[in-house]
Amino acid sequence: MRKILAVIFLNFIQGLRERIFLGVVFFFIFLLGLTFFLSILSVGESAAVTRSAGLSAMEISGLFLVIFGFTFSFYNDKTSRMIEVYLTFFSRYVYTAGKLCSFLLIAFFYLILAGIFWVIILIINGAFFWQSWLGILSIFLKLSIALSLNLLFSCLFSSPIFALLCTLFIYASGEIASQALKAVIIYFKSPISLALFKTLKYILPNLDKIDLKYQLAYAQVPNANFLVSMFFYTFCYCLFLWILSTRIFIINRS
Amino acid sequence: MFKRFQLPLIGFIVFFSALYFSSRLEKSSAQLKVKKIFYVPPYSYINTISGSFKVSVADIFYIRAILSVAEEEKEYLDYILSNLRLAVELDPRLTSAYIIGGIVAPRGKEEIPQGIQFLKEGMMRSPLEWKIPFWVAFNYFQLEDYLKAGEYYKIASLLPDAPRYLKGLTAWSYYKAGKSDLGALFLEGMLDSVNDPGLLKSMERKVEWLKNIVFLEKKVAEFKNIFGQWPKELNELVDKGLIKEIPKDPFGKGYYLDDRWYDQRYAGKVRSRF
Repeated sequence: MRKILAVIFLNFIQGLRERIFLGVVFFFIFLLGLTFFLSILSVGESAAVTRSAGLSAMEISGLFLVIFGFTFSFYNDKTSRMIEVYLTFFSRYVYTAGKLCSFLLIAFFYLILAGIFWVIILIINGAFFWQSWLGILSIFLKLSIALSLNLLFSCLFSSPIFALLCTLFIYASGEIASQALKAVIIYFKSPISLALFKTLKYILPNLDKIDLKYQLAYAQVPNANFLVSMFFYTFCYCLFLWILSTRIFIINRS
Repeated sequence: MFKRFQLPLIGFIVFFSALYFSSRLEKSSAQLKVKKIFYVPPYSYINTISGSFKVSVADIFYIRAILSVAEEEKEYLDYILSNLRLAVELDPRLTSAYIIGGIVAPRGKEEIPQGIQFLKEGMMRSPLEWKIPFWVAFNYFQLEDYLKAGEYYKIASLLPDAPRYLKGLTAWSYYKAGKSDLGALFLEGMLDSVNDPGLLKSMERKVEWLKNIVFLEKKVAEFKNIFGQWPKELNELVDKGLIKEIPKDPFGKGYYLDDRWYDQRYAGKVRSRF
Protein backbone atom coordinates (compact mmCIF):
# COMPACT_ATOMS: atom_id res chain seq x y z
CA MET A 1 0.00 0.00 0.00
CA ARG A 2 2.81 2.44 0.90
CA LYS A 3 4.44 1.68 -2.42
CA ILE A 4 1.26 2.47 -4.31
CA LEU A 5 0.94 5.70 -2.34
CA ALA A 6 4.50 6.61 -3.30
CA VAL A 7 3.77 6.10 -7.03
CA ILE A 8 0.51 8.05 -6.66
CA PHE A 9 2.27 10.95 -4.95
CA LEU A 10 5.09 11.10 -7.51
CA ASN A 11 2.70 11.04 -10.48
CA PHE A 12 0.20 13.40 -8.90
CA ILE A 13 2.81 16.10 -8.34
CA GLN A 14 4.25 15.53 -11.83
CA GLY A 15 0.77 15.62 -13.40
CA LEU A 16 -0.05 18.98 -11.80
CA ARG A 17 3.24 20.44 -13.04
CA GLU A 18 2.51 19.52 -16.65
CA ARG A 19 1.42 22.28 -19.05
CA ILE A 20 -1.59 20.16 -20.06
CA PHE A 21 -3.15 20.78 -16.64
CA LEU A 22 -2.80 24.54 -16.93
CA GLY A 23 -4.00 24.45 -20.54
CA VAL A 24 -7.11 22.50 -19.59
CA VAL A 25 -7.87 24.91 -16.72
CA PHE A 26 -7.75 27.82 -19.19
CA PHE A 27 -9.86 25.86 -21.67
CA PHE A 28 -12.41 25.25 -18.93
CA ILE A 29 -12.49 28.93 -17.96
CA PHE A 30 -13.19 29.75 -21.62
CA LEU A 31 -16.01 27.17 -21.73
CA LEU A 32 -17.41 28.49 -18.47
CA GLY A 33 -17.44 32.01 -19.88
CA LEU A 34 -19.31 30.63 -22.87
CA THR A 35 -21.76 28.95 -20.48
CA PHE A 36 -22.38 32.28 -18.77
CA PHE A 37 -23.22 33.99 -22.07
CA LEU A 38 -25.34 31.03 -23.22
CA SER A 39 -27.36 31.31 -20.03
CA ILE A 40 -28.03 34.98 -20.81
CA LEU A 41 -29.23 34.07 -24.31
CA SER A 42 -31.45 31.18 -23.21
CA VAL A 43 -34.48 33.17 -22.11
CA GLY A 44 -36.62 31.29 -19.62
CA GLU A 45 -34.17 28.43 -19.16
CA SER A 46 -31.04 30.16 -17.89
CA ALA A 47 -30.81 28.06 -14.71
CA ALA A 48 -31.06 24.75 -16.58
CA VAL A 49 -28.61 25.92 -19.24
CA THR A 50 -26.07 27.09 -16.65
CA ARG A 51 -26.22 23.74 -14.92
CA SER A 52 -26.13 21.51 -18.00
CA ALA A 53 -23.63 23.55 -20.03
CA GLY A 54 -21.34 23.88 -17.00
CA LEU A 55 -21.39 20.13 -16.41
CA SER A 56 -20.76 19.46 -20.11
CA ALA A 57 -17.83 21.91 -20.06
CA MET A 58 -16.35 20.14 -17.03
CA GLU A 59 -16.75 16.73 -18.62
CA ILE A 60 -15.19 17.69 -21.96
CA SER A 61 -12.25 19.56 -20.41
CA GLY A 62 -11.76 16.81 -17.80
CA LEU A 63 -11.73 14.19 -20.55
CA PHE A 64 -9.00 16.08 -22.39
CA LEU A 65 -7.01 16.39 -19.19
CA VAL A 66 -7.09 12.73 -18.24
CA ILE A 67 -6.62 11.32 -21.73
CA PHE A 68 -3.85 13.63 -22.89
CA GLY A 69 -2.22 13.83 -19.46
CA PHE A 70 -2.23 10.10 -18.88
CA THR A 71 -1.08 9.14 -22.39
CA PHE A 72 1.68 11.73 -22.28
CA SER A 73 2.84 10.64 -18.83
CA PHE A 74 2.69 6.88 -19.60
CA TYR A 75 4.64 7.13 -22.85
CA ASN A 76 7.03 9.68 -21.38
CA ASP A 77 7.94 7.10 -18.71
CA LYS A 78 8.73 4.68 -21.53
CA THR A 79 10.82 7.03 -23.68
CA SER A 80 12.72 8.55 -20.76
CA ARG A 81 13.41 5.09 -19.29
CA MET A 82 11.73 6.24 -16.09
CA ILE A 83 9.66 3.08 -16.21
CA GLU A 84 12.82 1.01 -15.56
CA VAL A 85 13.44 3.01 -12.40
CA TYR A 86 9.85 2.46 -11.27
CA LEU A 87 9.95 -1.25 -12.00
CA THR A 88 13.21 -1.66 -10.09
CA PHE A 89 11.50 -0.58 -6.90
CA PHE A 90 7.86 -1.46 -7.50
CA SER A 91 6.02 -4.43 -8.93
CA ARG A 92 4.13 -4.11 -12.21
CA TYR A 93 0.78 -4.25 -10.36
CA VAL A 94 1.88 -1.41 -8.09
CA TYR A 95 3.06 0.64 -11.06
CA THR A 96 -0.20 0.36 -13.06
CA ALA A 97 -2.38 0.81 -9.95
CA GLY A 98 -0.34 3.81 -8.81
CA LYS A 99 -0.40 5.38 -12.26
CA LEU A 100 -4.16 4.93 -12.55
CA CYS A 101 -4.91 6.18 -9.03
CA SER A 102 -2.65 9.22 -9.40
CA PHE A 103 -4.55 10.38 -12.47
CA LEU A 104 -7.85 9.63 -10.76
CA LEU A 105 -6.65 11.96 -8.03
CA ILE A 106 -5.64 14.58 -10.60
CA ALA A 107 -9.09 14.29 -12.22
CA PHE A 108 -10.73 14.64 -8.81
CA PHE A 109 -8.58 17.64 -7.92
CA TYR A 110 -9.36 19.25 -11.29
CA LEU A 111 -13.10 18.63 -10.93
CA ILE A 112 -13.14 20.19 -7.46
CA LEU A 113 -11.27 23.22 -8.81
CA ALA A 114 -13.57 23.50 -11.85
CA GLY A 115 -16.58 22.83 -9.62
CA ILE A 116 -15.75 25.87 -7.48
CA PHE A 117 -15.77 28.13 -10.58
CA TRP A 118 -18.99 26.47 -11.78
CA VAL A 119 -20.71 26.94 -8.42
CA ILE A 120 -19.79 30.64 -8.48
CA ILE A 121 -21.51 30.97 -11.88
CA LEU A 122 -24.51 29.00 -10.54
CA ILE A 123 -24.78 31.32 -7.54
CA ILE A 124 -24.55 34.41 -9.78
CA ASN A 125 -27.36 33.02 -11.99
CA GLY A 126 -29.43 31.89 -8.99
CA ALA A 127 -29.24 28.29 -10.19
CA PHE A 128 -27.34 26.75 -7.28
CA PHE A 129 -28.67 23.92 -5.15
CA TRP A 130 -26.41 21.92 -2.94
CA GLN A 131 -26.97 18.59 -4.73
CA SER A 132 -25.31 20.16 -7.80
CA TRP A 133 -22.12 18.54 -6.50
CA LEU A 134 -23.53 15.15 -7.50
CA GLY A 135 -22.90 16.22 -11.10
CA ILE A 136 -19.18 16.38 -10.34
CA LEU A 137 -19.35 12.89 -8.83
CA SER A 138 -21.02 11.56 -11.98
CA ILE A 139 -18.36 13.18 -14.19
CA PHE A 140 -15.63 11.76 -11.96
CA LEU A 141 -17.05 8.26 -12.42
CA LYS A 142 -17.15 8.73 -16.19
CA LEU A 143 -13.58 10.03 -16.23
CA SER A 144 -12.51 7.02 -14.14
CA ILE A 145 -13.77 4.73 -16.89
CA ALA A 146 -12.03 6.87 -19.51
CA LEU A 147 -8.77 6.62 -17.54
CA SER A 148 -9.06 2.85 -17.16
CA LEU A 149 -9.66 2.55 -20.89
CA ASN A 150 -6.65 4.74 -21.52
CA LEU A 151 -4.53 2.54 -19.28
CA LEU A 152 -5.68 -0.53 -21.20
CA PHE A 153 -4.87 0.96 -24.60
CA SER A 154 -1.60 2.45 -23.39
CA CYS A 155 -0.51 -1.02 -22.24
CA LEU A 156 -1.77 -2.57 -25.45
CA PHE A 157 -0.27 -0.25 -28.07
CA SER A 158 3.26 1.00 -28.52
CA SER A 159 1.98 4.18 -30.19
CA PRO A 160 0.51 6.94 -28.00
CA ILE A 161 -1.64 8.17 -30.92
CA PHE A 162 -3.35 4.78 -31.15
CA ALA A 163 -3.95 4.69 -27.41
CA LEU A 164 -5.35 8.21 -27.44
CA LEU A 165 -7.64 7.70 -30.43
CA CYS A 166 -8.89 4.31 -29.22
CA THR A 167 -9.78 5.78 -25.82
CA LEU A 168 -11.59 8.70 -27.40
CA PHE A 169 -13.55 6.48 -29.78
CA ILE A 170 -14.52 3.95 -27.14
CA TYR A 171 -15.58 6.79 -24.86
CA ALA A 172 -17.70 8.27 -27.65
CA SER A 173 -19.22 4.87 -28.45
CA GLY A 174 -19.97 4.40 -24.74
CA GLU A 175 -21.90 7.67 -24.90
CA ILE A 176 -23.95 6.89 -27.99
CA ALA A 177 -24.03 3.07 -28.04
CA SER A 178 -27.48 2.57 -26.54
CA GLN A 179 -29.19 4.99 -28.98
CA ALA A 180 -27.17 3.87 -31.99
CA LEU A 181 -27.73 0.17 -31.30
CA LYS A 182 -31.46 0.78 -30.87
CA ALA A 183 -31.47 2.21 -34.41
CA VAL A 184 -29.35 -0.63 -35.80
CA ILE A 185 -31.43 -3.40 -34.18
CA ILE A 186 -34.44 -2.39 -36.32
CA TYR A 187 -32.61 -3.64 -39.44
CA PHE A 188 -31.38 -6.92 -37.93
CA LYS A 189 -34.22 -9.04 -36.73
CA SER A 190 -32.49 -12.40 -36.26
CA PRO A 191 -32.09 -13.46 -32.61
CA ILE A 192 -28.33 -14.03 -33.07
CA SER A 193 -27.68 -10.48 -34.23
CA LEU A 194 -29.93 -9.13 -31.50
CA ALA A 195 -27.95 -11.08 -28.88
CA LEU A 196 -24.72 -9.88 -30.46
CA PHE A 197 -25.76 -6.23 -30.29
CA LYS A 198 -26.99 -6.59 -26.74
CA THR A 199 -23.67 -8.13 -25.71
CA LEU A 200 -21.81 -5.35 -27.45
CA LYS A 201 -23.95 -2.80 -25.62
CA TYR A 202 -23.02 -4.30 -22.24
CA ILE A 203 -19.33 -4.71 -23.10
CA LEU A 204 -18.98 -1.06 -24.03
CA PRO A 205 -18.95 1.32 -21.06
CA ASN A 206 -22.55 2.41 -20.41
CA LEU A 207 -21.63 6.04 -19.90
CA ASP A 208 -25.12 7.30 -20.63
CA LYS A 209 -26.40 5.33 -17.65
CA ILE A 210 -24.04 6.92 -15.15
CA ASP A 211 -24.73 10.42 -16.34
CA LEU A 212 -26.65 12.90 -14.18
CA LYS A 213 -26.52 15.98 -16.40
CA TYR A 214 -30.19 15.75 -17.42
CA GLN A 215 -31.57 15.26 -13.91
CA LEU A 216 -29.37 17.93 -12.35
CA ALA A 217 -30.12 20.46 -15.10
CA TYR A 218 -33.68 20.44 -13.77
CA ALA A 219 -32.58 20.24 -10.11
CA GLN A 220 -33.80 16.67 -9.79
CA VAL A 221 -31.86 14.46 -7.41
CA PRO A 222 -31.52 10.72 -8.15
CA ASN A 223 -32.21 8.31 -5.29
CA ALA A 224 -29.48 6.74 -3.18
CA ASN A 225 -29.94 3.29 -4.77
CA PHE A 226 -29.19 4.70 -8.18
CA LEU A 227 -26.10 6.50 -6.92
CA VAL A 228 -24.79 3.36 -5.19
CA SER A 229 -25.40 1.29 -8.35
CA MET A 230 -23.56 3.91 -10.40
CA PHE A 231 -20.59 3.76 -8.07
CA PHE A 232 -20.38 -0.04 -8.03
CA TYR A 233 -20.80 -0.31 -11.80
CA THR A 234 -17.89 2.09 -12.31
CA PHE A 235 -15.78 0.38 -9.65
CA CYS A 236 -16.26 -3.10 -11.16
CA TYR A 237 -15.69 -1.86 -14.72
CA CYS A 238 -12.50 0.00 -13.77
CA LEU A 239 -11.22 -2.91 -11.69
CA PHE A 240 -11.77 -5.29 -14.61
CA LEU A 241 -9.96 -2.94 -17.00
CA TRP A 242 -7.08 -2.50 -14.54
CA ILE A 243 -6.64 -6.28 -14.15
CA LEU A 244 -6.74 -6.73 -17.94
CA SER A 245 -4.30 -3.85 -18.48
CA THR A 246 -1.87 -5.15 -15.91
CA ARG A 247 -1.90 -8.63 -17.45
CA ILE A 248 -1.17 -7.10 -20.86
CA PHE A 249 1.52 -4.90 -19.32
CA ILE A 250 3.20 -7.92 -17.69
CA ILE A 251 3.06 -9.92 -20.94
CA ASN A 252 4.48 -7.00 -22.93
CA ARG A 253 7.28 -6.37 -20.42
CA SER A 254 8.30 -10.01 -20.34
CA MET B 1 19.77 51.68 -40.94
CA PHE B 2 17.26 50.55 -43.59
CA LYS B 3 18.01 46.87 -42.81
CA ARG B 4 17.00 47.44 -39.19
CA PHE B 5 13.51 48.56 -40.16
CA GLN B 6 13.17 46.27 -43.17
CA LEU B 7 11.34 43.43 -41.41
CA PRO B 8 8.97 45.57 -39.28
CA LEU B 9 8.15 47.62 -42.38
CA ILE B 10 7.29 44.52 -44.41
CA GLY B 11 5.24 43.23 -41.47
CA PHE B 12 3.40 46.56 -41.26
CA ILE B 13 2.63 46.55 -45.01
CA VAL B 14 1.50 42.92 -44.98
CA PHE B 15 -0.74 43.53 -41.94
CA PHE B 16 -2.52 46.49 -43.55
CA SER B 17 -2.79 44.62 -46.85
CA ALA B 18 -4.57 41.83 -44.98
CA LEU B 19 -6.99 44.37 -43.47
CA TYR B 20 -7.62 45.87 -46.91
CA PHE B 21 -8.32 42.48 -48.52
CA SER B 22 -10.55 41.51 -45.60
CA SER B 23 -12.73 44.58 -46.15
CA ARG B 24 -12.79 43.88 -49.93
CA LEU B 25 -13.91 40.30 -49.26
CA GLU B 26 -16.68 41.58 -47.03
CA LYS B 27 -17.93 43.92 -49.75
CA SER B 28 -17.81 41.32 -52.51
CA SER B 29 -19.53 38.67 -50.37
CA ALA B 30 -22.34 41.18 -49.69
CA GLN B 31 -22.77 41.58 -53.46
CA LEU B 32 -23.05 37.84 -53.97
CA LYS B 33 -26.47 37.80 -52.25
CA VAL B 34 -25.97 34.33 -50.86
CA LYS B 35 -29.25 32.61 -50.22
CA LYS B 36 -29.72 31.75 -46.57
CA ILE B 37 -30.14 28.07 -45.84
CA PHE B 38 -32.67 27.36 -43.14
CA TYR B 39 -31.41 23.90 -42.30
CA VAL B 40 -32.23 22.03 -39.13
CA PRO B 41 -30.80 18.50 -38.85
CA PRO B 42 -33.24 15.62 -38.30
CA TYR B 43 -33.97 14.54 -34.74
CA SER B 44 -32.92 10.91 -35.31
CA TYR B 45 -29.34 11.90 -36.18
CA ILE B 46 -28.94 14.45 -33.42
CA ASN B 47 -30.49 12.13 -30.84
CA THR B 48 -28.05 9.36 -31.75
CA ILE B 49 -24.89 11.42 -31.77
CA SER B 50 -25.59 13.63 -28.77
CA GLY B 51 -25.26 10.81 -26.22
CA SER B 52 -25.49 12.12 -22.66
CA PHE B 53 -25.07 15.70 -23.90
CA LYS B 54 -28.70 15.88 -25.10
CA VAL B 55 -29.66 18.74 -22.78
CA SER B 56 -26.75 20.90 -23.90
CA VAL B 57 -27.42 20.13 -27.58
CA ALA B 58 -31.12 20.96 -27.06
CA ASP B 59 -30.07 24.25 -25.47
CA ILE B 60 -27.98 25.09 -28.54
CA PHE B 61 -30.98 24.66 -30.86
CA TYR B 62 -33.16 26.59 -28.40
CA ILE B 63 -30.71 29.51 -28.40
CA ARG B 64 -30.43 29.26 -32.20
CA ALA B 65 -34.22 29.77 -32.39
CA ILE B 66 -34.18 32.67 -29.93
CA LEU B 67 -31.50 34.44 -31.95
CA SER B 68 -33.73 34.19 -35.05
CA VAL B 69 -36.85 35.63 -33.41
CA ALA B 70 -35.83 39.18 -34.28
CA GLU B 71 -35.42 38.39 -38.01
CA GLU B 72 -37.97 39.88 -40.41
CA GLU B 73 -38.11 37.30 -43.24
CA LYS B 74 -41.21 35.11 -43.49
CA GLU B 75 -39.21 31.88 -43.73
CA TYR B 76 -37.88 32.49 -40.26
CA LEU B 77 -41.00 31.29 -38.45
CA ASP B 78 -40.63 27.80 -39.96
CA TYR B 79 -36.93 27.89 -39.13
CA ILE B 80 -37.58 28.97 -35.53
CA LEU B 81 -40.26 26.34 -35.04
CA SER B 82 -38.05 23.58 -36.56
CA ASN B 83 -35.23 24.48 -34.18
CA LEU B 84 -37.58 24.58 -31.21
CA ARG B 85 -39.22 21.32 -32.26
CA LEU B 86 -35.81 19.64 -32.28
CA ALA B 87 -34.94 21.22 -28.93
CA VAL B 88 -38.09 19.94 -27.21
CA GLU B 89 -37.76 16.51 -28.79
CA LEU B 90 -34.27 16.24 -27.29
CA ASP B 91 -35.35 17.77 -23.99
CA PRO B 92 -39.13 17.60 -23.42
CA ARG B 93 -38.82 19.67 -20.23
CA LEU B 94 -37.75 22.75 -22.16
CA THR B 95 -41.16 24.38 -21.65
CA SER B 96 -39.91 27.89 -22.43
CA ALA B 97 -39.46 26.69 -26.01
CA TYR B 98 -43.25 26.43 -26.26
CA ILE B 99 -43.88 30.02 -25.22
CA ILE B 100 -41.19 31.21 -27.65
CA GLY B 101 -42.56 29.13 -30.55
CA GLY B 102 -46.24 29.44 -29.74
CA ILE B 103 -46.57 33.00 -28.45
CA VAL B 104 -43.47 35.15 -29.05
CA ALA B 105 -42.37 34.05 -32.54
CA PRO B 106 -45.68 34.28 -34.48
CA ARG B 107 -46.22 37.88 -35.55
CA GLY B 108 -49.64 38.75 -36.77
CA LYS B 109 -52.84 36.76 -36.92
CA GLU B 110 -51.81 34.91 -40.06
CA GLU B 111 -48.89 33.29 -38.20
CA ILE B 112 -50.74 32.42 -35.00
CA PRO B 113 -52.21 29.12 -36.38
CA GLN B 114 -48.62 27.86 -36.84
CA GLY B 115 -47.95 28.74 -33.23
CA ILE B 116 -51.08 26.88 -32.17
CA GLN B 117 -50.01 23.82 -34.18
CA PHE B 118 -46.62 23.89 -32.47
CA LEU B 119 -48.22 24.14 -29.04
CA LYS B 120 -50.61 21.28 -29.81
CA GLU B 121 -47.61 19.09 -30.69
CA GLY B 122 -46.20 20.09 -27.33
CA MET B 123 -49.40 18.94 -25.61
CA MET B 124 -48.83 15.48 -27.11
CA ARG B 125 -45.23 15.42 -25.85
CA SER B 126 -45.93 16.84 -22.41
CA PRO B 127 -49.58 16.05 -21.69
CA LEU B 128 -49.31 17.00 -18.02
CA GLU B 129 -47.89 20.49 -18.57
CA TRP B 130 -50.73 22.96 -17.91
CA LYS B 131 -48.89 25.93 -19.39
CA ILE B 132 -49.06 24.57 -22.97
CA PRO B 133 -52.88 24.38 -23.31
CA PHE B 134 -52.99 27.69 -21.47
CA TRP B 135 -50.88 29.27 -24.20
CA VAL B 136 -53.00 27.58 -26.89
CA ALA B 137 -56.04 29.22 -25.28
CA PHE B 138 -54.25 32.57 -25.33
CA ASN B 139 -53.59 32.21 -29.07
CA TYR B 140 -57.24 31.36 -29.76
CA PHE B 141 -58.12 34.40 -27.69
CA GLN B 142 -55.99 36.52 -30.01
CA LEU B 143 -57.76 34.97 -32.99
CA GLU B 144 -61.06 35.87 -31.30
CA ASP B 145 -62.12 32.24 -31.27
CA TYR B 146 -63.39 32.38 -27.72
CA LEU B 147 -65.09 29.01 -27.79
CA LYS B 148 -61.81 27.22 -28.57
CA ALA B 149 -59.95 29.45 -26.09
CA GLY B 150 -62.35 28.37 -23.36
CA GLU B 151 -61.94 24.73 -24.35
CA TYR B 152 -58.13 24.84 -23.93
CA TYR B 153 -58.38 27.04 -20.90
CA LYS B 154 -60.48 24.32 -19.31
CA ILE B 155 -57.95 21.61 -20.27
CA ALA B 156 -55.19 23.66 -18.64
CA SER B 157 -57.16 24.23 -15.47
CA LEU B 158 -57.66 20.49 -14.97
CA LEU B 159 -53.96 19.58 -15.18
CA PRO B 160 -51.69 19.11 -12.14
CA ASP B 161 -50.16 22.25 -10.57
CA ALA B 162 -52.46 24.54 -12.60
CA PRO B 163 -53.08 27.76 -10.66
CA ARG B 164 -56.52 28.24 -9.15
CA TYR B 165 -57.34 31.40 -11.06
CA LEU B 166 -57.51 29.39 -14.30
CA LYS B 167 -60.80 27.85 -13.24
CA GLY B 168 -62.26 31.24 -12.43
CA LEU B 169 -61.14 32.67 -15.74
CA THR B 170 -62.40 29.81 -17.92
CA ALA B 171 -65.90 31.23 -18.25
CA TRP B 172 -64.58 34.62 -19.39
CA SER B 173 -63.01 33.13 -22.47
CA TYR B 174 -66.44 32.12 -23.73
CA TYR B 175 -67.44 35.74 -24.07
CA LYS B 176 -67.72 37.11 -27.52
CA ALA B 177 -65.34 39.31 -29.54
CA GLY B 178 -64.35 42.80 -28.50
CA LYS B 179 -63.97 42.14 -24.77
CA SER B 180 -60.49 43.58 -24.53
CA ASP B 181 -60.83 44.36 -20.83
CA LEU B 182 -61.32 40.66 -20.21
CA GLY B 183 -58.37 40.00 -22.47
CA ALA B 184 -56.14 42.20 -20.35
CA LEU B 185 -57.28 40.37 -17.23
CA PHE B 186 -56.67 37.07 -19.00
CA LEU B 187 -53.12 38.12 -19.84
CA GLU B 188 -52.42 39.45 -16.39
CA GLY B 189 -53.43 36.09 -15.01
CA MET B 190 -51.05 34.53 -17.50
CA LEU B 191 -48.13 36.57 -16.22
CA ASP B 192 -48.22 34.49 -13.05
CA SER B 193 -47.32 31.40 -15.09
CA VAL B 194 -44.06 32.98 -16.26
CA ASN B 195 -41.13 33.01 -13.86
CA ASP B 196 -38.31 34.30 -16.01
CA PRO B 197 -37.77 38.09 -15.98
CA GLY B 198 -36.91 38.13 -19.72
CA LEU B 199 -40.09 36.31 -20.72
CA LEU B 200 -42.09 38.37 -18.26
CA LYS B 201 -40.94 41.53 -20.01
CA SER B 202 -42.12 40.32 -23.42
CA MET B 203 -45.47 39.21 -21.96
CA GLU B 204 -45.87 42.55 -20.19
CA ARG B 205 -45.57 44.21 -23.58
CA LYS B 206 -48.64 42.31 -24.72
CA VAL B 207 -50.52 43.27 -21.52
CA GLU B 208 -49.63 46.90 -22.15
CA TRP B 209 -50.81 46.53 -25.76
CA LEU B 210 -54.18 45.17 -24.67
CA LYS B 211 -54.60 47.71 -21.85
CA ASN B 212 -54.07 50.52 -24.35
CA ILE B 213 -56.90 49.07 -26.45
CA VAL B 214 -59.16 48.96 -23.37
CA PHE B 215 -58.27 52.57 -22.58
CA LEU B 216 -58.92 53.75 -26.14
CA GLU B 217 -62.23 51.87 -26.39
CA LYS B 218 -63.39 53.55 -23.17
CA LYS B 219 -62.52 56.94 -24.62
CA VAL B 220 -64.28 56.09 -27.91
CA ALA B 221 -67.42 55.19 -25.92
CA GLU B 222 -67.07 58.47 -24.01
CA PHE B 223 -66.84 60.30 -27.35
CA LYS B 224 -70.08 58.63 -28.47
CA ASN B 225 -71.81 59.69 -25.23
CA ILE B 226 -70.70 63.30 -25.57
CA PHE B 227 -71.09 63.86 -29.32
CA GLY B 228 -73.77 61.30 -30.13
CA GLN B 229 -71.80 59.58 -32.91
CA TRP B 230 -68.78 57.32 -33.25
CA PRO B 231 -65.48 58.98 -34.13
CA LYS B 232 -64.17 58.16 -37.60
CA GLU B 233 -60.53 58.07 -36.53
CA LEU B 234 -58.69 57.85 -33.24
CA ASN B 235 -57.13 61.26 -33.91
CA GLU B 236 -60.54 62.79 -33.23
CA LEU B 237 -60.12 61.82 -29.57
CA VAL B 238 -56.98 63.93 -29.45
CA ASP B 239 -58.60 66.80 -31.38
CA LYS B 240 -61.52 66.92 -28.94
CA GLY B 241 -59.18 66.81 -25.96
CA LEU B 242 -60.34 63.45 -24.63
CA ILE B 243 -56.78 62.12 -24.72
CA LYS B 244 -53.43 63.87 -25.05
CA GLU B 245 -52.06 61.45 -27.64
CA ILE B 246 -52.70 58.00 -29.08
CA PRO B 247 -50.64 55.56 -27.00
CA LYS B 248 -47.72 53.90 -28.73
CA ASP B 249 -48.49 50.38 -29.91
CA PRO B 250 -45.84 48.17 -28.26
CA PHE B 251 -46.82 45.04 -30.15
CA GLY B 252 -48.43 45.93 -33.51
CA LYS B 253 -47.76 48.76 -35.93
CA GLY B 254 -50.23 51.28 -34.48
CA TYR B 255 -53.82 51.41 -33.25
CA TYR B 256 -56.79 52.26 -35.46
CA LEU B 257 -60.53 52.40 -35.16
CA ASP B 258 -62.62 49.65 -36.72
CA ASP B 259 -64.51 51.45 -39.50
CA ARG B 260 -67.52 49.11 -39.40
CA TRP B 261 -69.34 51.46 -37.01
CA TYR B 262 -72.67 50.43 -38.57
CA ASP B 263 -72.27 46.87 -37.20
CA GLN B 264 -73.02 46.55 -33.49
CA ARG B 265 -70.28 43.92 -33.10
CA TYR B 266 -67.49 46.17 -34.33
CA ALA B 267 -68.69 49.68 -33.50
CA GLY B 268 -66.22 51.55 -31.30
CA LYS B 269 -63.67 48.74 -31.37
CA VAL B 270 -60.00 49.61 -31.46
CA ARG B 271 -57.67 47.36 -33.46
CA SER B 272 -53.94 47.01 -33.85
CA ARG B 273 -52.20 46.98 -37.22
CA PHE B 274 -50.07 43.80 -37.66
